[in-house]
Amino acid sequence: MPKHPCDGTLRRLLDEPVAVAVADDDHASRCLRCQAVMRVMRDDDMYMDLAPLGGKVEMTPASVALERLHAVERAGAPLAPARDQGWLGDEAGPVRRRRRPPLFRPVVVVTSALVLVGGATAAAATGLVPIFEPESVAPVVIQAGDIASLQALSRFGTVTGSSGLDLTPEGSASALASAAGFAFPTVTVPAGLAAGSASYWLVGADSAQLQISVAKAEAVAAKEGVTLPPAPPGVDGSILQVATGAGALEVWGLTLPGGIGPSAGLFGASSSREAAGPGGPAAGPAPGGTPTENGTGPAVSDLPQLAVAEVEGPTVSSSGADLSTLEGYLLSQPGVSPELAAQIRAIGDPSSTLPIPVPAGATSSTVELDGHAAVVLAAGSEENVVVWADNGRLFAVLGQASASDLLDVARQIA
Amino acid sequence: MVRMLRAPGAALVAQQARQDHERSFERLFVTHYERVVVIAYRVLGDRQGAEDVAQEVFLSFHGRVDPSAEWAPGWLWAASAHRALNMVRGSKRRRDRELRVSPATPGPDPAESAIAAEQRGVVRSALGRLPQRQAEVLVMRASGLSYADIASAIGVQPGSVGTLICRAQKSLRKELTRAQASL
Repeated sequence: MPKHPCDGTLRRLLDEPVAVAVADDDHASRCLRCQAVMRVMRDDDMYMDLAPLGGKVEMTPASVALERLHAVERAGAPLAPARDQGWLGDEAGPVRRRRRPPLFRPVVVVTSALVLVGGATAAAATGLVPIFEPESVAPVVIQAGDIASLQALSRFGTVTGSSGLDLTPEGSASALASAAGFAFPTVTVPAGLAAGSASYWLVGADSAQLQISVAKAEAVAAKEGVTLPPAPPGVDGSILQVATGAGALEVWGLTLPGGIGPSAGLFGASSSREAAGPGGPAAGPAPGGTPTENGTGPAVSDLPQLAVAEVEGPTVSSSGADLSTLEGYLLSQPGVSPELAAQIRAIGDPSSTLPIPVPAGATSSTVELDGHAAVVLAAGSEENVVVWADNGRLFAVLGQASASDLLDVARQIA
Repeated sequence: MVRMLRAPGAALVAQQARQDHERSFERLFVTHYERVVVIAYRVLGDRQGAEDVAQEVFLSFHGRVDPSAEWAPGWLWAASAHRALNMVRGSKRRRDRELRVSPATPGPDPAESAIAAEQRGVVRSALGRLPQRQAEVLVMRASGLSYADIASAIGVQPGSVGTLICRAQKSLRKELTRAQASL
């Protein structure tokens, strides 16, 4: 008697027999042991009779449900449940507040790689400004593939410079301030917010340039069967430069946020990261909270208990094409969602407003922080990031704490 | 700095892209709405609750996920199972729901129906205690999704789905045994 098929194969033999190899099917039909295993599996099926199985589930027609969905979207955040609409003669009920999406994962790249560097990448990638200095921040909701498409800038030309995110441990706050060249803000940590001592990290200065090559962009697109829109005059050969100065990072409760590494340079993607865009079954977002969110933009993992960061810049400059031409060209590229493009175009002053990417599943709000507009990213009531800009410098306070607690810390700095 | 006018061609392309995106989303919605509801219904046993879940799933999806992506349907299915299971996990909501569901499934024999409803409640509770992925796999399978569909939804090879189902069923059996022992 040949080897028994594995349990998974026997299970499939019950569910989808035509998908199982004939040899396994033959074996199972003659093997008492396999038949016993399959009987147990069949018994287990009974447990899953959770809902009445008989007949079709009566439900609102999809076309009606779609109209209802659009109505809810037009109305804004409060969610009017389907039951309240009376399609099947139900009584109208109270409007329920929309629950926090259970698809949340803790936001992590929003720590420094995304907020402090990735944000600059997004600004640069979208060609927002020929000369840019952050004076304020604005949330931008990112979608599947947006970050991948924006960070894969090498497809638009030649990327030079950028050594990636360079983090150097420092022994103390004073050593960090000395290395960074500016007085790093000290904060008093509220009781219960973070335990233990902090670690200190110097964020190295960085710069990168992208020289746009329309021919290269068209060739890359052609390989994917996509025809690019015609490039406006002046785009071809333009050089876009992004630079960040030194930064400082103080972290409690974690050695370093995940997702930060050499590949997280100013122009983002290494070739391997570019290849990680949507395209396969595992490449989609993780609605069920599975560990990766490949293709949806930032990866996520655990936030530290608390972290405070300050970085100089980023600044952006361009030779050749002007701001609006670069913006129009880059935002019209395939892969850049119309929603993202519209949000970026809607930013009032692109020369001084840094778009802060809001990962799928996270929410954002804008609050006033001692005269500065701060963006609060929330991945839950106890996972938050506060970001603001002040006089060309970016600040962030983040951690496993309520937005209110983090704002209290932020007010010590702002 | 004064923003200059954008190239009109780019604006038209962006507008066209937006329209294409909306059309893709609406096609996806119409094609998959029923299945998304059925998956949630399998967990909740409550049509209205299942439609609420479906609406939340599509709201969460719209504008965040590319509707033309190959994995978009799988995203919806997994999200429906995930959200419905989260509702089951909320103990108060679960109790309320079970109370609501129990009298809503009358059969020829009221006593038998009551027992069946109670059993379903026990199974739902046990399902809510399983690891998320295991519970999702069981729910999707019970909702009639093929191995290929499930594989697409959770990002594994179809050949692995049978093994995942087996493990999930064993876990569920253990949970039910534990629940029975504690009675």
